[in-house]
Amino acid sequence: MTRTLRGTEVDPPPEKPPARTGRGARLRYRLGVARREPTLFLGIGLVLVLLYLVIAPLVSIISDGFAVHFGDDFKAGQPVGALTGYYLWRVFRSPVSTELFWQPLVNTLIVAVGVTAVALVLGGFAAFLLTRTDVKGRKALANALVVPYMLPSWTFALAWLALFKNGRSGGQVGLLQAWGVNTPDWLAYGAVPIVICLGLHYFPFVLLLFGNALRRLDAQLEDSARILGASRGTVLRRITLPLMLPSLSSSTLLVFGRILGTFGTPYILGLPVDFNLLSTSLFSAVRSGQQGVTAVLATVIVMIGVAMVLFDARLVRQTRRFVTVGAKGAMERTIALGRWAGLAATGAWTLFALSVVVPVATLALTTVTITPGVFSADNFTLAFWTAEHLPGAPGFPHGVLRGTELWSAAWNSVRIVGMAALICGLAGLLIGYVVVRADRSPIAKVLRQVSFLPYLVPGIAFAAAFLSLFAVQRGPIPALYGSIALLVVTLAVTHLPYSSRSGISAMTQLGREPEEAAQMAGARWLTRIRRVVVPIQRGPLITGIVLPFVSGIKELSIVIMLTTGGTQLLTTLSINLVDYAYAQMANAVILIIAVLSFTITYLTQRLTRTSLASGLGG
Amino acid sequence: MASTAPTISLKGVTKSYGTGPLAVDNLDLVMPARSFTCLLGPSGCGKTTTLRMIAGLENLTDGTITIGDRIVDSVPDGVFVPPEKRGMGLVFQNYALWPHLTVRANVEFGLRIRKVAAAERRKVVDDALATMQIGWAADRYPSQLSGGQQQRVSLARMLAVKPEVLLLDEPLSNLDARLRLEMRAELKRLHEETGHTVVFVTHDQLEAMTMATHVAVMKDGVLQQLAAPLEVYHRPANTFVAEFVGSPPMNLIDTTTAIGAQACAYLRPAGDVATVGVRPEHVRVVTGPAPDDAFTFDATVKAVLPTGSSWTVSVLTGDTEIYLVSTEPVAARGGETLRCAVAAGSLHTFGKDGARLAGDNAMETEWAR
Amino acid sequence: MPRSSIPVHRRWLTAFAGLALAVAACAPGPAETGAGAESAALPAPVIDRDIDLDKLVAAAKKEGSVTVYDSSGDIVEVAKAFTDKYGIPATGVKSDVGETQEKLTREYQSGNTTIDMALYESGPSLVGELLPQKVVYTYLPGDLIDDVPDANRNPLTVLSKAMVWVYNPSVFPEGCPVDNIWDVTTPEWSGKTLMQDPLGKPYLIEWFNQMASGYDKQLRAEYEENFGKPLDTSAESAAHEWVAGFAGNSPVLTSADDDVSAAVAAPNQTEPRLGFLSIAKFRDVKNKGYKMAVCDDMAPFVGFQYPKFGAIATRAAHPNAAKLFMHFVLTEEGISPEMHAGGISGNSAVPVSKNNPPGLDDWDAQLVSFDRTELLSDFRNIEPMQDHWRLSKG
Repeated sequence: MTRTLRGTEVDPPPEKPPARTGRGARLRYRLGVARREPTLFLGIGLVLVLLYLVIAPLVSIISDGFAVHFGDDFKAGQPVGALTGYYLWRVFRSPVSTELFWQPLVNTLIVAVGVTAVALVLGGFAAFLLTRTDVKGRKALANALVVPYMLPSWTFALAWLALFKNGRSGGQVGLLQAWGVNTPDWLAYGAVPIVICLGLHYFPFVLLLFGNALRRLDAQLEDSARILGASRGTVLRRITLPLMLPSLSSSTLLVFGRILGTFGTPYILGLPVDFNLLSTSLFSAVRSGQQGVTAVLATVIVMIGVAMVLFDARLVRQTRRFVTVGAKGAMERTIALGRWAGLAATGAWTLFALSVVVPVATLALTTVTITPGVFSADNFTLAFWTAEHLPGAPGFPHGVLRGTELWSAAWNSVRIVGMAALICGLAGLLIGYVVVRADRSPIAKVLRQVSFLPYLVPGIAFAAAFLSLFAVQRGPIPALYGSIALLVVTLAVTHLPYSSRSGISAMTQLGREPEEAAQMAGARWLTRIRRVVVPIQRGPLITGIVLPFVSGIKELSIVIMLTTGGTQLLTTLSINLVDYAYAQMANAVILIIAVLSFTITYLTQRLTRTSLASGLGG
Repeated sequence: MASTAPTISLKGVTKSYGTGPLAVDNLDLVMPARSFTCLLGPSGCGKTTTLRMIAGLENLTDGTITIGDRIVDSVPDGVFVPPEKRGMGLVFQNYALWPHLTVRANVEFGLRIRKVAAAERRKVVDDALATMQIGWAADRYPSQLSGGQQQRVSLARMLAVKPEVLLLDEPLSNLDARLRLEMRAELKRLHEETGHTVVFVTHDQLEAMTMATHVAVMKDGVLQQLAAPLEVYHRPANTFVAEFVGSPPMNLIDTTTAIGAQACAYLRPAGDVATVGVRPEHVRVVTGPAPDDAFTFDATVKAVLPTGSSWTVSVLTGDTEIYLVSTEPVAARGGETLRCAVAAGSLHTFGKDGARLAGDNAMETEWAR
Repeated sequence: MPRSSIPVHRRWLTAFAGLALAVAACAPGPAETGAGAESAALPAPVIDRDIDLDKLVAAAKKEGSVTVYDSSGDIVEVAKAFTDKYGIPATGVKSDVGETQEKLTREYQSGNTTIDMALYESGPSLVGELLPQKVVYTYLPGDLIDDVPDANRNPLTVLSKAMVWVYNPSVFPEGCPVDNIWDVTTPEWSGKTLMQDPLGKPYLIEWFNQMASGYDKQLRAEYEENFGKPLDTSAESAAHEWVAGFAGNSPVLTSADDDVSAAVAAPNQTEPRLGFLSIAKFRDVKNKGYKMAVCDDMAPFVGFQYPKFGAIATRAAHPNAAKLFMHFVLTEEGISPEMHAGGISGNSAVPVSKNNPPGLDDWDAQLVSFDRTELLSDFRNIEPMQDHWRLSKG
């Protein structure tokens, strides 16, 4: 019973124990482990692929800004391919720099600040009503107020034109003008409508992020302040707002960042009054073949994007230490609205009407009227939907539902975005898997960060970068331009942060034990993935697929640069129709996209009983 | 499978997580066949890492692990056997049942992997569930069960594949006090019936004392002592083990304090004593004359804490606080003076490095029982 | 060189900003005359002397299909006519010149070619970039070559088109309210003129450049005629002065000619407006009841004629089908869908369109005629002219 087995004395500390066995043997052992345990290989593979897909395009486009391109040699005064400051000079210092860069920069800032303010006010109001008050029909409202985000962002712009368009941009005027109401230019085009339209599109973003944070905020924190004698206002100012700061700053910067890369709305509403944002300036540089200027503008946009995210990260890091999120202990405390109830409900439903009903109804109306605003029987027609032959529209001489254009675009959209979403979902889960399994190894850390990188880069700049990288063959990677592979890859990379975020959080929540338990039970790697990891993570996997899909199906900024004749998508089809002034048909295509996006979201929610809304904030 | 239960031996096992101190430092450890070994230590001492290395879930930075006569890990020889081929069972702290499978499917999983025929599978699963008295829940999902029930399923799942070695990673820490007691008995019974080699990780010294045949106390990745439970209790290898095992912990008195110096003078030890130790239950309150072979001192009562079966008393002598545990009622109030005695044989001495020097004949000291 | 890593680190950013400013400070030196690869001689056209139409048709059929880009929507009908005639599925895609150029170039570089052939309206970039870079080449079918005048051969002019000033005769029953091109620079017409945005339409910039190189004298004379004093300007040319005056007079800029025609001539339109648009839009007079007429007495010209060139992608996926298509658009049968709305074929054997708008009888006298010897110099002047437009817009 008292037999001492061994080692009853304290061992003297060994000298550098890991060095006892030679390097070669240790390496052999680690290879043996890695052979049995593919996590490490998988992680390294993922990191390499991601680094190539994220870093290489950026390097490529940045270097594009410093080399003389074909046809620019006589302007730069240097031979093609030489290192040059000409493009920088042209963008930042030349007489046209104001037009190319400085004015768009100022406009971008104005719009970004304006949109953020509108989105914060509307989203904050809605979030407060939905999480903290007893406003009637909370559940219905919660679903209804997310709908604007499911519409393509430039839906609002087209609807706006259909309502407010005046003679300034040529073509047919909008409804108001047709009814004799004079719409001044500042109301019809430029900053004001862009801010309103994008604000209406992005407020659900704030609603979701801010609402989730408000919901998780432990009401006891507020209660204890009240008990200590603080007034309601003081509590709001001193307790609630500071605690909400991280989510507030995140949503602010997210919206801000999105504006940098958004294309459709400023393109449609800015062109008539020559109101350019950095994104539209970039686009026109691409379209006029100015590769050097494109590169410089894209680089600037990337840098602003990176700066925003770093700023956000710093702000969040600074505030995180005092943020207590009482996930479980949180209590929901609702404020009785009393006699304000009616007003609040009206306000919320008005918001829904303005952000969904009005634009959709307006667009729907335009698609069945020949001349806007004229409500006589002979002015209504289904021709733009179904006519076999439409006179006067030579590029698209039939209703949208006729011919092959719409169907092939729809099929392309579903096919390409679907593939990208599938890749996203699986990659997201694998990334989550590696991050959790290889926890504490540098690979996990690197992978976690690299998979978020696309977040830093506004979509349109990414597209420009991909165009620059994959236009020609590079080493073993063939030229992808004109192939659907380029679209799939670009969409997958740009939407990866959504999926990897959901993958990492799902895998972290699950932990490594379920898989280890299977391992102990004798299951090999593939069996474990197939029989344990994927089935358990089915929900997050579906979310990780559907989110990028819904977001990708209405994506314009990225795909506008990459589509070719064979790969027309619904969104590019619509914007082409806008360009050719076939307003009715452009609007019809938008409606189709909206219906598609909405239906898929709805069906997924019903089928998986998950709320995508919670993930949209990404 | 008891007949084939193997010896587990670790030689020079080291684990480093890159930066920071070593998680496990040059560990030599032999767990005999059919033993029930507890890896005991505070959190972060490397005990779970050690268990996971034995399981193969964590790879080694250096060293060799042998199960029976089979090398499963050897850094010098570049050998690594993956967990799924080690034939071990592991129960996780949070049970790690698969939420998408029923209880039956959970237990059946390993058998399917081994391609056991359906009829045989059914029988084995039923047996395993019956052994763990959880057969009634076969068709439920884990989320419908309580923690204790889940733990039983998890044990059944482990037993179903008939492993030679059972690894248990703090399996009782998520259970309430009553269930824990019940499961302790259950595990002990299981071990006695089947004779597996069991490795059990816990930070609860009571669990180790009550269940183990061998206790390995660890601190900062270094093995402090490997011995039978009572040996660890009565002959702690150093001050860390002395303080970690036992509740309330052993009184450790610096010899620079007045009372420490007195005790030291009384003992007249051979070596250079830095610390004198005494278990609270070995400090007695004496009312009459002190026994001859005891060291006595006066102390002021700080507080008396009755637990029902015993009385824990905190006393002050000089600036030194000493705990004693009495099985007889102590009627004193705070501020009163008590006379205390410690049998000479129950005093432990430790050197400057904390290592045990001598003392503790407590096992033989009749009145200190 | 910022080739080493991505801009995530602040120090990196600072370094980059420093570098950027340092390099940006260097404005380009004076252009070296004759420098650069693009001034290499224009490649000679490929003349298919021994063309055997039957063989070509057979080869084209084997290839299965053909895709043709054009900035006019009429290409859809041309493609349909082609398919009807040869049974080879043809796709006609309406696409901006800029977009077509970018896609042709990218596709050539990547080798994934979807565009087989383009009818292309920007001579300068064709001569300055696409042809010397061998993105496309000029193909002349031997059986038709005798009818293609030398001047139309390299690059190959498929069709001459025209842009003209138009007004709404129901708003101005007396006829066009302006008779001099300088009128549109006066306050009276501020905000009332419409045309496509020249920055998106290379052929408008081309028009400005052609005016600058060939019409300086006429513009100066008409200026004096209109304002009673000689033009006194520091601008490069009278055309530059006109561009500045016009751009600064708040013209309404659109992305499509349809917006111009609708704003000027839509049936419910009553505002006094002038538009500058392609004569192709005169089809809407018949189709949509638009009220539109050419400002036929505008001096020194009522518009601008410009060629639509034809070129085949060097790496075309369907090279023979593209050749056959090129042959097709050089025949009356092939080009007539594009000539429904006016135009003059590059093949002198094809009769002039009967649908040229009334009032536009003598193209050479009424329109700025196209001087193809200026193409390369026009190419170099694209960006300066775009910049001039941008800066004048104010």
